[in-house]
Amino acid sequence: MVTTGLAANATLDALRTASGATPFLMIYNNVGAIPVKSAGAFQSATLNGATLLASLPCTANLGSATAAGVLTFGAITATAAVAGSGATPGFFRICTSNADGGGGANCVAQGSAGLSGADLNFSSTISSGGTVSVSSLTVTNPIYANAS
Amino acid sequence: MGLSGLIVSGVGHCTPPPLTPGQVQAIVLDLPTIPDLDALAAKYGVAVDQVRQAIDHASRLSR
Repeated sequence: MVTTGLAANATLDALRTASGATPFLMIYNNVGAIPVKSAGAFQSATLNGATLLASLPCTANLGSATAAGVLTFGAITATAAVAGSGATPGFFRICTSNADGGGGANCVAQGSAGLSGADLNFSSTISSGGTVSVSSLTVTNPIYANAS
Repeated sequence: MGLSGLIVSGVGHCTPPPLTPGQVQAIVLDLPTIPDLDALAAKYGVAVDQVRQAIDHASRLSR
């Protein structure tokens, strides 16, 4: 099947809409395997023992509308790491709020995090009480490149 | 992966909090017994660069 670029953008804009007015980028450590979806959602019970390292407020709906198949996150606010949380990041979640550290029903997407070779790569491990920041984050829909 | 089929590219950073005077003193006092900076960093849960900073700080004080 061939899709249009418009359809490719709409896929990512659906993610933007689902993230809500006050989305958060939640970063967890890597004590176990990255959780998988369960019954259509990322359940708290499937954190595989991971704990929250930091929750960074994102721009409303993550940023501006998707362009050319690329969703570019707007400003992500730097935040102090959770006390006692020194660790290597393992995965991240995009949630509609930070009310539930486990993600659960308020989680709309998830990706890998680490020091290299992950979706979101950190320049160092997370230090307890340190300031965590994300200087750039993009999501690309590869379908756009092949769209007509 | 949650973002199935999508290509995600992100860059993150963490700036460690400044060492407390107590941490600096403890690291420096441990130097004769643990000369390995990596081991010192692991023992005190700080970054290797911070261990270097503590040593630099102590050496300035001793001049």
